[in-house]
Amino acid sequence: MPDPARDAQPARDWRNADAPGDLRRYLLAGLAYIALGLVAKEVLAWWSYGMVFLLLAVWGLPAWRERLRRRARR
Amino acid sequence: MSWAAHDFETYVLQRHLQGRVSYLGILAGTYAPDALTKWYVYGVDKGPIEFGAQDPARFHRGWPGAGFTHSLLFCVLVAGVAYVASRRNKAWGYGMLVGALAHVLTDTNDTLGVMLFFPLSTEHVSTGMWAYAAGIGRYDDAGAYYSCLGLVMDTFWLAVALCYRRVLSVDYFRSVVVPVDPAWGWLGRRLPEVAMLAIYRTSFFYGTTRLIAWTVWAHVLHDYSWDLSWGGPDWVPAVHD
Repeated sequence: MPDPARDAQPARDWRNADAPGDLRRYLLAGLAYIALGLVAKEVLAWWSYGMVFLLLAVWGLPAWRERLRRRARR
Repeated sequence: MSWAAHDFETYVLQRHLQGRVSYLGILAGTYAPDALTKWYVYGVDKGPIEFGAQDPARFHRGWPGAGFTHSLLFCVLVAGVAYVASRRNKAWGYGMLVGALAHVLTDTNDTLGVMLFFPLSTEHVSTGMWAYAAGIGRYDDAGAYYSCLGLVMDTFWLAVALCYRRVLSVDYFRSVVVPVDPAWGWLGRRLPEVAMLAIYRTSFFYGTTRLIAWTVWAHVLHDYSWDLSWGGPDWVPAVHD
């Protein structure tokens, strides 16, 4: 049986969302997506492209950059 | 048909029905009427692979065709399917219903309209605000839509969504959006919150960037003529019922 009370509480870290600079990250992602859309119009045709792009821009790439930085410090 | 309005409507509906609907349900609902048909309406043309509807308007909104996807009955049916598939989660069923209804009612604003009362009637309900022009291809359709009252409609919904911008905040997401929908809990065990927020905000991001990009494409990079008259633009062969 699913437990709604437990399901409503994600187990992963909540604290890292909306850090300072997030708005800037979204704005830059938006500008980049518009520029990309003007060059390759296909990306404007599917919602899923927008989601993948935004996930990469605000989570994937910053997380990857952070990991590289940490590795360089070691 | 409308382009970015559907993306903004999801947040406005979520704000008004907060606590009772699943945002993901609304999102799925707004895409449900076009989910399986839109690609065939515009067709596929990749080298040797070329196919699509012979009569896009009839296929998309007519009968015989897939026009039943833009009816009240279809909205009720997909809501019922969502309710059962989500193990009788009312927030999902309700969300799917209002999302699909928003899509169908917004699409009554083009010249072709929708068969709202199918199967009781195949008559199209339409305000005729802007031209239905899917038959001229995706890009010219975008050029036409963002040269007429379609742009005004999308901008209106963007402005309304901006008035409710609190729905995009992390606090709102945590306190209103997540608790009513177990799907976020499932996602939260696999993704960090920053990724879930990106998914939640995608429609706003996608709608806004698409509105700007298509408008720039049509009027800066190309020279599509403006026509903000009712039923415009007049330079496109608008399809009527």
